[in-house]
Amino acid sequence: MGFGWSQFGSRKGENPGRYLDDVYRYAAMRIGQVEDAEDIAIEVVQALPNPCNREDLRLYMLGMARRKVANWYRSYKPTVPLLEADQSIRFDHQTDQISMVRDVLQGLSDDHREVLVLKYYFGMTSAEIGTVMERSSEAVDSLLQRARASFESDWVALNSDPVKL
Amino acid sequence: MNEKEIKQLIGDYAESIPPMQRRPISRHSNFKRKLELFTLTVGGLATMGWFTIVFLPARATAGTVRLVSQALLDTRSMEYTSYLKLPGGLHQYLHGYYENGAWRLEAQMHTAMSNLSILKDGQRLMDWERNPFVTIRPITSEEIEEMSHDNLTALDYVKKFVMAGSSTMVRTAHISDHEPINGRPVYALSIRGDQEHYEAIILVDKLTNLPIQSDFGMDDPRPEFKTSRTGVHTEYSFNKPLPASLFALTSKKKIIQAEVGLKHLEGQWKKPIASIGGTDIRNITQTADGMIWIATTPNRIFTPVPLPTHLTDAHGTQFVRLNDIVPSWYGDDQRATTLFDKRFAIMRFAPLYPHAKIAEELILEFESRKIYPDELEHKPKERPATLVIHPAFTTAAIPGYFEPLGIGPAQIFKNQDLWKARGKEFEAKQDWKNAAAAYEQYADVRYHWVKYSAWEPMLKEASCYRKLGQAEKAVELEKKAEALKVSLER
Repeated sequence: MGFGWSQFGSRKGENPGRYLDDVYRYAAMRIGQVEDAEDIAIEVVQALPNPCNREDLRLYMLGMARRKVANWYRSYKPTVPLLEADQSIRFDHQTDQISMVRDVLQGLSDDHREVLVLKYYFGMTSAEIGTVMERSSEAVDSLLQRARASFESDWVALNSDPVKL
Repeated sequence: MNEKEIKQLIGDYAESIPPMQRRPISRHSNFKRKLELFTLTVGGLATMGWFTIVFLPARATAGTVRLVSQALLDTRSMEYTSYLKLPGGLHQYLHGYYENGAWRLEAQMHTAMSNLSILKDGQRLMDWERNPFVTIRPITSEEIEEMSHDNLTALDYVKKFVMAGSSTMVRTAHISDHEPINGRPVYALSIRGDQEHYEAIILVDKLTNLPIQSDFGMDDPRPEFKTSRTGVHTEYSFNKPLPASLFALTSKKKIIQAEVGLKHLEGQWKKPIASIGGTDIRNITQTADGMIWIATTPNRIFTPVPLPTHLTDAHGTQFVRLNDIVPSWYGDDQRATTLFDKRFAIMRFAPLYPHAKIAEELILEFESRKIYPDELEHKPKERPATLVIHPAFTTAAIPGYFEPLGIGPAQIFKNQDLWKARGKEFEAKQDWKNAAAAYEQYADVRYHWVKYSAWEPMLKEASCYRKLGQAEKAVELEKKAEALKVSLER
């Protein structure tokens, strides 16, 4: 109702809401749990100063999310996960593949998972990843190389056919 | 396994994560919260004092709906009128009615965006004064869920109404006696906050515990308006008989059922005109002013996909790209309109120079970018895809497919976007004369939308005149802009 309408791209200054989804997806891919990822994204936005005039707001918010993910892991108690409703009713190829990607990512070390997400989902440069992960660009490159190898190795192991192209 | 493949797999996984179901009520979104509580309505929310942009209140709309959807426990009916406290005096911006769970809200934040909304029986009618039709759509399950609990007394409702400001703000409440009003005993509920000099006073009828009037005020949180103070005065009356016609979901205008409209479009656009890297082009229309509108259903919205970025023609016409538009019932990106189970987005290009002669055949270039945020992903080695297009032509101001979506000219700020984009482009070319002319047009459009909001393009115009060495003209404009800004005139 009411406004019933939105226009994206007409942004003046940095609106934290722009990056809410980024923070949420980052957290979801790091911890593999949607509800807790929502909590983290909400906490990040709530903790921002008001007004927030940072030029690097996106990286700043992801950095905040990173620390909250670390806290989450510290207090995490493993439970038996319930299948997401949409995953339990669809078993087509795409869903199957998505589940496998999730499993492979969750099987990686936290650093590897994080660097892959930042690089291949957020499309960040090594310098930007370094800002979020508090590492040098060189260290990020090296980490990324190892993470790719781990991902590939686990992916191949999970699939019956090798996927080298 | 190459990088492209890893990127694809991780991208697919990321996109498969369901959208957020909850949204923060935060310091930031409290800006919106202020808005929703301020306006407690719909259209008015578009341009509350401290929001110069009309795109922000998306969430506020949804929140507002939740609030108004709740039943009032201790009253049969309510009527209220709210006024913004502006430097020039009170400005009536909202007239609301409630009876037996139904709401009618007449918002007049300013003429250009005046609207009426009626919520009744799980349906919502929306009537923008300047649109030639009204839209009816069901209230969603999420809203209905909100309606099923936490109903309010009228006083609770007013307390929420005045609760502007940050949710983290520490507030203290104080009750004191007040002189009688119309012979009835009254008490005052004062609420103060420790930020932004927030204060609210609600006068309450002692015998009925129903509010009589409320006032609240606070410093304007926008940095550019830091010296301003803004507030709202509201007067309430209760339990008066209200005519049933106030809540009738009818209109003399054409009524569009939003869900039917979407299905209609899906039927029309079943076969895409073209598909490029997962982006389906559904419609390409040229309006009489030369603007090209490209309706798409991209595979993804938050990750880069090939999307139209440049337009050229054989005449060498220069085009500027305007901001993308993503229709939504709420204006909330999490509940955007979908077609064919995909997000629906419209890209627009306009000739840089008005009245340019445009060829019938145009070449559209694609580059990888996100829709939201709209950022190009520069990959110099990657050759952009191109598509030769022959737009359909309409003499209307906007393409016809907006109507089945329940979106009309009142909701599309075409001329604002157009002149803003032109101004920016001329500035980039250091063509200060044309940039000044474009910003002048932009200021004019904004002035006729929300008067004071023209201050910003006026300053841009002034800056162009400075570049042209016309300092006197620039100073004159700057003074005018400052006066307009301070006035907050609607």
